[in-house]
Amino acid sequence: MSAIPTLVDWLIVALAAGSTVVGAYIGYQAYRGYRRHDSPTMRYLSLGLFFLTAVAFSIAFLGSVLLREGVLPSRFQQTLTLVTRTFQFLGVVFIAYSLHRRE
Amino acid sequence: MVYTSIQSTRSALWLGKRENHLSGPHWLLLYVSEDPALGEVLSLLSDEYARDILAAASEKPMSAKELAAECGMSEPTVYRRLNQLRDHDLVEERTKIETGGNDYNLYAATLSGFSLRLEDGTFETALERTSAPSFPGQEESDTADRFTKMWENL
Repeated sequence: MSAIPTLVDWLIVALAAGSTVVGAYIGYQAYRGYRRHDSPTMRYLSLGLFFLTAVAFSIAFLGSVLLREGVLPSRFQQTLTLVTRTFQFLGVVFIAYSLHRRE
Repeated sequence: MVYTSIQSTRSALWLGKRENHLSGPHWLLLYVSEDPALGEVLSLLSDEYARDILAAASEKPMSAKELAAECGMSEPTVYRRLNQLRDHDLVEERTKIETGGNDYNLYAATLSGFSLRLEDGTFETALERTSAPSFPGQEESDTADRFTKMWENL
């Protein structure tokens, strides 16, 4: 019985890491688009994608590890969620702004 | 890749050889003699300026200024012919996005072949066009360039 939660735990970790890597890749392509075309639209898109994926996932992931290991007291649980949600919100706001801004 | 095939078809057409060695995606339009568009396309193609512009724009997409220089015409002449060519979808317009907002248009020939047949009292013409890219930046080889053009043109 105890083997299954471990497997699921690993799957969750792997999927979170995968989302971080793939999200960072998309953000990186958007960043290259910004550098190659000097396009502010792409700058906001890449910022949004980085915030939404790489930053939010990394903070959530690192935070949950620190909480589980007891490095971070458990009363920081809510703060951690708040920080993660803030980056996710900033991410989607940047993407929406990038979508609607025109030169 | 598409533009290479335009050029080879074009030379084959003007040399009088009708060889079909197109490889890219194409579509065919059939007109009959009653279609007023046939007369307009024929008179447009009989115009030397229009043909020169088509020939130049089939090699690579060019701005009106570049076309004027390449064909030795004034810019108003080029614009007038481009408008006529565009009315019949023989050229397509693409917007080149520049930093600083000085965007300009590039023109590419979409005509790749034209043939005329007379049979049983009616003229049948076939116009072959190269298919336009289905999304902006499709022909870019770099992912970041395709991404930028797609996103900017949403």
